[in-house]
Amino acid sequence: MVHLCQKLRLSRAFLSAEICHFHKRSFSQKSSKRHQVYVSTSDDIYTNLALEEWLYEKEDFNQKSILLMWQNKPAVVIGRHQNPWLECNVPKLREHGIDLARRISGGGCVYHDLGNLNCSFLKTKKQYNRRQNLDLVVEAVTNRWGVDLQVNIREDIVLDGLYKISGTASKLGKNNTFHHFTLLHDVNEENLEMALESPMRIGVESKATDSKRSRIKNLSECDITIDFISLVEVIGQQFYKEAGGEITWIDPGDETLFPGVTEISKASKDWEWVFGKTPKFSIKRTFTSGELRTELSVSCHFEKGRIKTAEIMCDYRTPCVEEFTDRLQRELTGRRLHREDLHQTLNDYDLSQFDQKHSAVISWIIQSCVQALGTGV
Amino acid sequence: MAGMLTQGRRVVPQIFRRFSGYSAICCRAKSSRQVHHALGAGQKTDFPLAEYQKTKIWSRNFHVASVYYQEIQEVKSPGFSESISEGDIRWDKAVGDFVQEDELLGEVETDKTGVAIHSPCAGVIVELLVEDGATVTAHQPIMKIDTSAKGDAPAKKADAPVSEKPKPAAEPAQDQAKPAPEAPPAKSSGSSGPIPTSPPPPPPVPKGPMSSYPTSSVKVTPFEGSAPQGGARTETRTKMTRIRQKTAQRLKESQNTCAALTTFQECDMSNLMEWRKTYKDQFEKKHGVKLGMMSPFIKAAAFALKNQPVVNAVIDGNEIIYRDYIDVSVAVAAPKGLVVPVIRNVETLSYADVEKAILEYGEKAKKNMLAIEDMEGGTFSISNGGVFGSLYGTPIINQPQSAILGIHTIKKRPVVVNDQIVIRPIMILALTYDHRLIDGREAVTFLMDIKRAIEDPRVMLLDV
Repeated sequence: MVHLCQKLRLSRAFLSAEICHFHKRSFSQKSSKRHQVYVSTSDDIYTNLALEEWLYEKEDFNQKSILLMWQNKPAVVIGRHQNPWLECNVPKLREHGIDLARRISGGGCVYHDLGNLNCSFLKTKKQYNRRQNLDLVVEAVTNRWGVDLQVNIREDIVLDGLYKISGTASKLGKNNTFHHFTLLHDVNEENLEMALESPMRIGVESKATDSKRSRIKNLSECDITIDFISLVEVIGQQFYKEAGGEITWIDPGDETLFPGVTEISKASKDWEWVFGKTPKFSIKRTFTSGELRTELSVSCHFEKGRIKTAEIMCDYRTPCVEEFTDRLQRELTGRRLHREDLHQTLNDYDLSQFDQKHSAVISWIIQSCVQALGTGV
Repeated sequence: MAGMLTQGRRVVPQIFRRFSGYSAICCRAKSSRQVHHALGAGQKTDFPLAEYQKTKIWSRNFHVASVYYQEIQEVKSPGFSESISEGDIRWDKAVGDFVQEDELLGEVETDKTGVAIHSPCAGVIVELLVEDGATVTAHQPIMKIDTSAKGDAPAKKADAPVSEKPKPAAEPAQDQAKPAPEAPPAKSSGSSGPIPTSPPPPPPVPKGPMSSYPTSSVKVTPFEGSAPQGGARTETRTKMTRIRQKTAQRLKESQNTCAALTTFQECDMSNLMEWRKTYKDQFEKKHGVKLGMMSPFIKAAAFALKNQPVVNAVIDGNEIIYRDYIDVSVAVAAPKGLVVPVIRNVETLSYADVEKAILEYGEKAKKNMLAIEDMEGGTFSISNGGVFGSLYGTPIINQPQSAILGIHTIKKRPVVVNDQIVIRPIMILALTYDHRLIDGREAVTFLMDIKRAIEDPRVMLLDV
């Protein structure tokens, strides 16, 4: 009986020893559990942001930290509490097919295209250290290529002491945090300037986060061999210096690995999220017409991307003009600041019911309203 | 005595079994290999089949009689493309799993890609005719599915022989012995390229770079007067992946065939960087694709190849094949590593066309959709050794080509321009060429043409 127990014990010990040995063997081949580098195969901004959000919410970072890197087709990304109409040129974005996304972290507005690398460090709260992440990237890039990069006081990465090549933002949750930033290596500077110049700046009062604009320069101007693949390799390797591993390419739309990610991605394209989450702001414009000798003041308050109240006052005091402005006010209230909605309200007016003088005034009023409200949409 | 016996034969004689602690060893040991070690020998076996038989002592072939009365469908391995004749199978499913029609059963890993195996019907897997990691040829029967069974039909007993099989199959020595005799005839037909005459048979697959004296058996003699050396001295063995084996074989073949040597040249990149910066935004606006780094090199290579057509040619037996078209193989980073697709007829393409082709290949590579035809052929190659910072390198020629250009990292250096010292970004270009075909003068002139075309693209415009 004892002999049997001994045998069993021996066999179990031997079995567990073998299992340990097997694990040790496979451990050296697979990536270490302490650090992982993911590179996304998708170039859609919504999918990639959704993946970042999924990892932030669902992954456990007590045993490991993740570095996620991606690039996307031309897109503008605004911070959580920003006003898209004031940060970028919404009509031009639509015209050129550039996506507009609102991320869940705060901070300013950035332009992305395939010449921009996005890095996101996901760690636990204890290990949250923005400076460390930026220093890691600067060290990796300066060791490999002889470029002059520094991290300044505002935690931007600066090239040649002058040009900003990176914008940083982060989000802190209960346990998990992420810190992400961009890295300009080969963006189209013309497109960037065009996209980030908002036409709707006059007469606006807003408490939304403002973006600080700086001069930029591409890394590839310093060394033509800097591109997405080499940056991914070099930064990934630096991240692995502490615990070796591999860079893994993943498909962010893969529901088996990341269940629920498609839903997040769909929600992030919704108008209600991108525009509807805009903090309150107001516009006040005055227009003067010399030939008609009138003044018009348009003042609107916006909440959740919709017109909450509108006040249109014209000092051409005739009953039909007043009636028109009242009606216009009523119709505009509650409308989304969206091209379709405004188009409906402001363009469907039959001017024949008014006599010539009035119709001139009315059409001028409509034009001014379009200018006040419609330039940004 | 025990040593003599075990060195001679694998099968342990009866008399030995009765009188020694053989039974005790056997109880603990899980395979005959461990028995072998316990008995003291450390050599490789010549009789893999004998060993295979031994490990099945305790498992009997289990035939479920009812198997024959159910509807069994045989699954065959998929067909491969022309130049590939076999691959290794990787199973995703096991015996007893219920699969739907068209579900992924596994993958056959060939030299370059993985070919998926989809189930032709719904049913329960009753038998895997080849084990995980074994070699299969096209249309070979590999699995049996019971289409009449629905849901999970537990076939636990059948699992036992299948799960035991991967263990001995994982032993690398056996597998090296098995594919080695099959491989040479298959591989020589599998080598891509239009050379019709059979090349000399490739050297036998070496058993490793070690000499016959494995390092693990070296006795560690401690230094006099020092503490005994610590540190583990264990080793791990892993099987080489198919792709790595094939790459190793092709590299060696190239070195054995070509009389390769490398010539170098410095190239001032400042002009290229400057005009690229000036025009890249407009380029992107007009053509919808970014102006990258490779297209200037590819266009420069095409220009130089037109001037030195012998570099675009290749030796075939006693003849030289001069090609009127220029197909350039460029390395593209893919999730699973570097792949080398071929851009066809580069002499007819503009910068935008070249960039679009590279982008398209990059996208395909990311989605693992690169076809084998995309990577075959090519008359010239360009390799980027500078990704990790290499300053000089001697790239290896891609058969069946005659030369390869290597580009490296850019470093700012002081150089002399007009008798003044200035700082310029300098890149070293390396050209490895087959000296059997290309003379030194031609090779150096060719590389000089590339350098001139990069430093001043007007050279290409005016064709000087």
